[in-house]
Amino acid sequence: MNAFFEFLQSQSDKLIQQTLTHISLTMVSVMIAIVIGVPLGILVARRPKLAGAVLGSAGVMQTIPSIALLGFMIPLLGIGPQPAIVALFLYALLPIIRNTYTGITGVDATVIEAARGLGMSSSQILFKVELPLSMPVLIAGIRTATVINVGVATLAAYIAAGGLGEFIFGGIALNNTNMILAGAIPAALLALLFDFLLSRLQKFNWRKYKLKAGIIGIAAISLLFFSMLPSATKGKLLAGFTPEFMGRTDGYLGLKEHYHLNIRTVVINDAVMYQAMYEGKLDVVSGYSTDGRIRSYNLVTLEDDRHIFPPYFAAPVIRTSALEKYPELEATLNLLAGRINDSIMTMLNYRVDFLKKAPATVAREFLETQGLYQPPRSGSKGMVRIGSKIFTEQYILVEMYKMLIKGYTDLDVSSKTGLGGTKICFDALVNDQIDLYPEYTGTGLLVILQPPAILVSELTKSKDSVYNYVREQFLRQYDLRWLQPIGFNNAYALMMRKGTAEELQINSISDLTAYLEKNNKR
Amino acid sequence: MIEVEHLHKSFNGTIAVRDISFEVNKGENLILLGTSGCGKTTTLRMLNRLILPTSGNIRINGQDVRSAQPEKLRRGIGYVMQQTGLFPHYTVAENIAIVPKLEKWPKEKIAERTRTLMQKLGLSYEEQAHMFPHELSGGQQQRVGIARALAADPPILLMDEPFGALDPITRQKIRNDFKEVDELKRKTIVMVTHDVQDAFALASRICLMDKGSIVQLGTPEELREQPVNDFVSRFLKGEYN
Ligand SMILES: Nc1ncnc2c1ncn2[C@@H]1O[C@H](COP(=O)(O)OP(=O)(O)OP(=O)(O)O)[C@@H](O)[C@H]1O
Ligand SMILES: [Mg+2]
Repeated sequence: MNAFFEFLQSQSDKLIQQTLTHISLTMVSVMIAIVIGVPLGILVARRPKLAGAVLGSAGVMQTIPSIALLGFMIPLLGIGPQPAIVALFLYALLPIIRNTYTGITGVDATVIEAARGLGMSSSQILFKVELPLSMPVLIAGIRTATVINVGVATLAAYIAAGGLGEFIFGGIALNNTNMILAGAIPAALLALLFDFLLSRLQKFNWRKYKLKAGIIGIAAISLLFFSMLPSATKGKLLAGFTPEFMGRTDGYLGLKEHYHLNIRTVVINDAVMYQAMYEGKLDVVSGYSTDGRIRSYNLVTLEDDRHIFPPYFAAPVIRTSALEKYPELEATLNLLAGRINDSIMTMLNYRVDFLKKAPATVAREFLETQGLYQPPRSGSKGMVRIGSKIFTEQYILVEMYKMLIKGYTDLDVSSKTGLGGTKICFDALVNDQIDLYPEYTGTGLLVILQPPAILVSELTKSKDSVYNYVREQFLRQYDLRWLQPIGFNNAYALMMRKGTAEELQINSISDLTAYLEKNNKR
Repeated sequence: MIEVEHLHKSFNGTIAVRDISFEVNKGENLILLGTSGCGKTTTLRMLNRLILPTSGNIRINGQDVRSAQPEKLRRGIGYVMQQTGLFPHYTVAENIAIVPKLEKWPKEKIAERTRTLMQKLGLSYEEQAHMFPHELSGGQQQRVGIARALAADPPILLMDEPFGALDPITRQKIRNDFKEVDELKRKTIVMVTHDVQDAFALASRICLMDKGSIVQLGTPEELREQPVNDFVSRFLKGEYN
């Protein structure tokens, strides 16, 4: 508990800034949704024939997975708050249109007839009778939309729009519970707060309140908040880093400390980062040296000339209990040891990411060229559960292990791919929900074990010492075994577009620092 | 004052009102009487253009209602509804003030008018002006509905079952109070009811309707003493109530 408050205190600037951004994203998107959704709801209430079409298309918006919707926005609007607000706006639209429609059609017909009979015009009826009487239902819709959007706005951190998602996803990636809570608790409190405030508004007697003044007020507040949002597209070079990279000593923190790198940064999700890079919205990104997208998006990795990125050699991590039960697994999994170097792995990733081949196909082709492939045997002895994080390389490795286990033993395999980040995979392994997954030595060291900084800088000088250290510690602390490394080193790397790097003559991270220094002074 | 000629109304083929003609003179109280569904409300609502006739003419003070601007026409005709139709989000005073406010009367004049009207209709301004309709009894709500229709002092009043949904005793009491309200004596009134006693207590003339048509139109005495057919005499005896 104390550690949590210490974390909050040390990160209070970030926390305040992220909370404000989160509020802005939510409010601006909901307000735009009100400005557009309420008139649409009124229109639909007037012309019931349109109701199906309008409510239907707003409903379809809501079924699009949030991250996909954010992805669609990038080619259109780039990265940053604008696409996030548009996506959030689309989510907020349905409850607002639907409740406006329900509210207005639900107003007692005799009251409307009385209003007409007394000589009110249709706009007077709308503003003096229909809207005030449907206000509780309408505000219930705004409440729903707001609470949804406080939640979805955490995903804005995926596309460099900021918000509390930065802490949440950073924390998940870094296995830092305090960081997760620093994002999740304020987000939950915000949802409760908005819900409470709007519930008060719902009970308000709207007749006393000037509706037209309210509408003008809404527009003004939207503009104010919109102007408060940070812009992601000004200035010279812009770096997009994943939440994980941002928080790691062997990531952005290390870059600042050892290279004195001083670049404008935004937090962005790995899945949309390369696309944003390709669209020219970002100039520098953090990635992995074996990523197939380096090839497909024509990027170059900058040389780590001060060696701050520790080695990340991949190897299977397996529960000791599973090895005891099926001893034949060890030799089978080690069949891959030393077989795949960096360039082979990049190529395999490229085949999946860019050539759109199935990971299983790529895995099988590779095993066949290596003479390792054997057709499946009976699969009757038992079941091995393999997990993977959500990225291509892990999917390919899992497919290879699957084929090897089925071909060389009588075991069957079930795979749980898509276990998110390191923490989720590791927890699944410790809690006996999976038997093994491919892990990287550097991740094991820095994310799971987290030894003191002095020890880290000592260990990361050599790839063997890191491997030996994590092997010993995993066995001792968690009863988990590291098998032999596969060969490639999927270390962190900074990347730029080939064209930009050549034009600016940047080959290494030191070159980048020098370039930025020169330009910042000017 | 009101002239109605050969009025027809059909809703998607079903005829609600057929070939109705009558005149209402200034200060007269014409009662539309008839069984449920005979077209009384439909006829009344055509007078202030809430419903457009399929054919036929309506003239008010010599002017065809179709040539008038509907909102303006309706503000000059008080309208009391079958189910009061009070605004649930307005207080009693605000409900009464609706038309004067639309007509942009000064505040003091509206307050003054509301107070006198409530008094005339047997409501207490001090106690009830700031109550909401759901806090009133059915009879009080009906009175507020009448006050609202009278607020801007329109020369014509259309009333659809103003004593509907009341128990017989309250009904009789409000009806008697109603007769005493001086403002109402000056008005040209078209009132709908299915209640024979209402009709005889209040009518200058009665227009007895059945299945969309007029069966007989005349003073209460004419209907009682010279009924045109069996339906009229049986209706007046209360056999259809
Ligand atoms: N908007 C409408 N659409 C279709 N039919 C209607 C409509 N309004 C009225 N009618 C029909 O027209 C006929 C006359 O209705 P109206 O409301 O005028 O009767 P009423 O004499 O006022 O009856 P009540 O005493 O029950 O109020 C009825 O058969 C009714 O079903
Ligand atoms: Mg009726």
